[in-house]
Amino acid sequence: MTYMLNVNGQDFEVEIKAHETLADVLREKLGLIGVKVSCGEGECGSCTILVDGIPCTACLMLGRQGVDHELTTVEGIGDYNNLHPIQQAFIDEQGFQCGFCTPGFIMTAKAFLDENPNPTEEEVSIAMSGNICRCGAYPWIVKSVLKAAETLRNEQR
Amino acid sequence: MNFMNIQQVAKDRKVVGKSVPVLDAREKVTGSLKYGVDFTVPGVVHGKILRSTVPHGRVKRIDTSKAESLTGVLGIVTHEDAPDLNWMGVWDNYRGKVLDGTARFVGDEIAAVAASTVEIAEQALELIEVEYELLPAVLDVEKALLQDAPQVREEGNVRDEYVVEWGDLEHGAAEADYTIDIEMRYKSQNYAGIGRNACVCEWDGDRVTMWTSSQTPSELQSGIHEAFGMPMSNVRVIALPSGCSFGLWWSNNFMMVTALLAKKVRKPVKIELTSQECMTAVKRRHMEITRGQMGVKKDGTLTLANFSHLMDNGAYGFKTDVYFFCVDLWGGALNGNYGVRGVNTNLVTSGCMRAVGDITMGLAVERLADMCAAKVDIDPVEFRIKNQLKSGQLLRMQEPRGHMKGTLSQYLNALSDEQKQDWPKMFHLSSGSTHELLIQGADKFGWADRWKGWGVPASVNGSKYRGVGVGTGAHCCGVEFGGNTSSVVRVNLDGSINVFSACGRQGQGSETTLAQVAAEEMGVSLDRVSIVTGDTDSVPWASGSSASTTMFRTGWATREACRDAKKQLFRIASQEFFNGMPEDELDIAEGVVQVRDYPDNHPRVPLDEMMNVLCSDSLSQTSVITGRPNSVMPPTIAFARQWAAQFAEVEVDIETGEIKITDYLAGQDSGTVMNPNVLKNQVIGGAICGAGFVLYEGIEFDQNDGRILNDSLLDYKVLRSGDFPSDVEVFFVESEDPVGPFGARGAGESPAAAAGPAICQAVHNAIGVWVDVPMIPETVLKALKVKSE
Amino acid sequence: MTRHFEYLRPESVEAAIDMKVEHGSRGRFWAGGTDMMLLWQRRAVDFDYCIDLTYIKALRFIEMDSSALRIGAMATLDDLDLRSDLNSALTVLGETARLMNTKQTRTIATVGGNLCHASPSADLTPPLIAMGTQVRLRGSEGERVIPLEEFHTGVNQTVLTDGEVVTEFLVPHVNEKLAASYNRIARTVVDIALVSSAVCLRLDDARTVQYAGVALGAVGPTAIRAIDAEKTLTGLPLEELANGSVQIAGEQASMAARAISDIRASQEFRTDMASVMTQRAISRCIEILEDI
Repeated sequence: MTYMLNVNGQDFEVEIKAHETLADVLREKLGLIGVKVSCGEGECGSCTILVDGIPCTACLMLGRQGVDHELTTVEGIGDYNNLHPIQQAFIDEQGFQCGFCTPGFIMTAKAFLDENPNPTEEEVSIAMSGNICRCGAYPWIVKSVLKAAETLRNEQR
Repeated sequence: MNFMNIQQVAKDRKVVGKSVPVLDAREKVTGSLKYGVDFTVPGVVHGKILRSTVPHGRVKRIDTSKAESLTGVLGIVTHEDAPDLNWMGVWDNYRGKVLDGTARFVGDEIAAVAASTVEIAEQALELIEVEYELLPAVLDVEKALLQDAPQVREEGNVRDEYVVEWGDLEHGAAEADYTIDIEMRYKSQNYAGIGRNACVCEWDGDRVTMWTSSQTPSELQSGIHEAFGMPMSNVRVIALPSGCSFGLWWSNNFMMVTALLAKKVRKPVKIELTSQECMTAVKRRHMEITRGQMGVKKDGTLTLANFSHLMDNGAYGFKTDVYFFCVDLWGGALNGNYGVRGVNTNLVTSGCMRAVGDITMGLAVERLADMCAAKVDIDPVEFRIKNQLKSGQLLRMQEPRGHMKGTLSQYLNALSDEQKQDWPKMFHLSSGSTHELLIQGADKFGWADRWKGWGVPASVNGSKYRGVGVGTGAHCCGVEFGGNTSSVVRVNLDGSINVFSACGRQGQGSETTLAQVAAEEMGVSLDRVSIVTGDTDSVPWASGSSASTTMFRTGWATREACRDAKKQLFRIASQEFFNGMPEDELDIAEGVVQVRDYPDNHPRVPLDEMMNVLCSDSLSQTSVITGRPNSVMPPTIAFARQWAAQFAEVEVDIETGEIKITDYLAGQDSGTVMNPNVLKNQVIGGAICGAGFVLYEGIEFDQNDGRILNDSLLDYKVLRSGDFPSDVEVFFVESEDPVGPFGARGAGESPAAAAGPAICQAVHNAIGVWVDVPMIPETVLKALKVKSE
Repeated sequence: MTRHFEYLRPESVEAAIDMKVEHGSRGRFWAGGTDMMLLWQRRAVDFDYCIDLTYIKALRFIEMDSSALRIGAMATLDDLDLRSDLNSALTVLGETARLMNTKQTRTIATVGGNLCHASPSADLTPPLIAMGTQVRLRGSEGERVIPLEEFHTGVNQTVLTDGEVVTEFLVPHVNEKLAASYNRIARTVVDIALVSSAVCLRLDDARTVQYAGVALGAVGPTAIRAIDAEKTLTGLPLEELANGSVQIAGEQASMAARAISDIRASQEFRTDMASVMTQRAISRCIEILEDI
């Protein structure tokens, strides 16, 4: 059976089996490989997406629970030729190593900065603790988010 | 061309030393980079592996008929389909057959199913009936050493001991004013990587192509050739970027199983590992035991360093030693003996994990050295400066393994004096040490003010005690006779450059830093360089990204390949444009071929113009310039090491045992820094890995069958952002190496080795007692209790 | 065999109950799914109908009603954090929620789901019990309200009968002179509790402790009320609490603990820490009450 999912501003008719996770539906049915699944248990945050602007662990949600919401993945905030300021900040500060956790961090950062546009370093560090970077890029992830906050605040002026 | 001559003066460098963004930065931040798990090919079918539920057993009967008749199942492989050939994983991390009908650990590969969907493959697994003849299992490394222990494998459990020794132990003990003993036991660290892995494999006639996340494309190609007894010319590996690896994704048996399954069903097969399989059924750090004794004089001279180290190889690991460069780190000890032995057990395979040996045995050596320093009441920074090896001194790790001895002499004898004359002095440390790191680090950290003495807290606030500590770590950058390296560089018609260098892409930035080497040597801007790293059809065989060797060896080879390309270019250019001027007076700078010393007085020919002339009809010299290394790399045993010194402040709650890291400084000497942003990330990434090892991490095995109990991140705790200071400082001491490209050495592992000792010493200084690792709250309280009794 | 289920989406409590009654044990309520998804994937549960509660808007609320705080069963853990300022009870519940797993699971996980999963180490249970929380259950037969400490009967076990669903939690007396504190020991900054204690103290007009709640987590199959510790604290004037009663209450908390050893912590450690956590919680309550 197919259902309508609103993803990155567009509607898609998607085949969803009841037991499929939202992460798998987005990856496999819509080709959104920016939704990365690692632990599959809600510990690592790699699969973080925005549901109505709120950060959610897509590997723990049923595909059907994505219906009637606005879903945003990393593909929806910027692309190769047109990076979001958060993405640019991660490049400038090198807030990654292997890059697998990066989309999840960026989505968490997006939701965090939407709520708290002028955070302290400590607040950023705590806010980013819901995502795991096993490579250990944390100090530069924090710097990236602070840099992004500054860029976004400047854009507002 | 003599490799020793020019290490360009730092200020002339255009690309080396610059924090250029890594070449795949955009792909990473947009989520478009394809890892093994994201990869697929048209027509792919899905595989799942049937895993053993027993720690040791022979498959007496396996019935796949019900599974095979399930709709959607395309084929099943068991040991009956597998070749009777052993294959070797990188650095002896694996020795075994693809499938051999014997289960050697809970989770071992027994069979595999290919089906049209993952779900059908999973269903089919449940329909396979297996009957095991149970065999006695051995789950403890000390028990596995015994004569009458159950033998995990046909070669026996016990590998030969690897020994490094110098001086005279008895003399060392006699000279000491104090001797101190230690025994340390470590839990096994889990790679616990973010990223999982998948393998896609397809046969085309007798040719096989494999796509998977791997740091070691060449060795994987060799592994497939061994496992299937097929020519390497028929094996193509395309190594994809991996998630965080730390040595996990090299060549793994599940990749061979994928190949076997694809061969049977004659369709491309994808096996994607679950998170649980990654955590329990591939590889882990060795579980190790160190026993040691050090002797010290009242003036702080270490007279003796005697260590005996045991490590469990798990079921399929085959290592005889862990590569423990703490031996050289504390090489100032006057007399020494370090013995390491590997032993198999019926636990999941163990292999190299970041800073193998140095994060474990190195911790014991550092701790025992600290105990000696405390005994004679000498500051730990001073004690290290006094007893640690300095550049130019004789290395303690001199001898290659016994069976290589003859080969080394023959090898050396076969070389000309001219070839050897510019090499660094054999068996002496070629560059760098902890010396400057300790002096500069102590200064930056404010050590003199913050250090209050052994076991004396820096500050006390209610139940919160703060203490500072220093730790050092070392590792190799080129392993003793550990394999070849090579690289190919191609100059295209338009003067752009293609580099072909086998390396891994696990976040260490090698695809970028190797390109930086090429750009610098070729005299072009980085955007004119494109690099291929993982395709064995185009990259020459080179030891992959392991043992922190990529920059030192493959970087060296890349630079040599560029020199070879320039040589070919200049030979023709000299005739055609420069009036027969000697070739070594020519140069390329900013993409323009010119005379090095007096560029304005002579022609300046842009590279694309030069290439067009070379390839024109009138010359018909060549269609493209291809360069490869033309000189012999000094045996890497001679004699590079990487060094790390780290300073930590911790806060310990003595009522609960909880530890928090409150301040951190990391110093690194890996020679010339190719890319500061990349290297800073590596240093702290290593430190965080080491911090996890001493604070929280440890695999728990079931006592009865060795199954891993904490098989998920819920109970295998890794550090998060809030667990490590965000305002950490990293500084570099750039002791240029005479061999490494532009003076660069390796860097991935020594930072992981230095962290544990720094944090453990800080805890000791805060609360006055040494704590077993991992220092979870309960263990800290136990140590405090013992102290008060 | 093939593991799949049918998905049902009720939009009212009545509809949800009807579906559960229809399918009996072959139907399972699915709230945020942060526990259910893992149970399903690990094959620890088997069912044919998933009854998704997340579209029942009527169950997602946090509001005041005379002097009781009402938390709808489908309020998320993140909702508790975002509404921290509402009153003193929510301050501690918000702080507690922030300790639970990660932000991006808190936005999905629900208070009802968490308490129905009935993990012995669940962080919300001790503070809710310490504050005297009640649970409203609704089934095909009607409604009942029971104290939260009677809701859990064992590890992952509750008194819910087939067809019953939790609709809300009621925290009483929240506008009075009340302070609560939750303290726990964990490993990294994201972790479950190894051992925990929650204390709630309520003063009367004479600034005497009228009510004391002490609830321990992760030291038994369900949270444990340390009754003796509560008795020690009750009836004392605020300014006398620090004269030794804190230590005594702490010791009594340790005595009430029924901890076990597992791969996370030993029985001895948990028992000892029950005292330390309780003492810290009491001290924090005293601090808060001194400012009221």
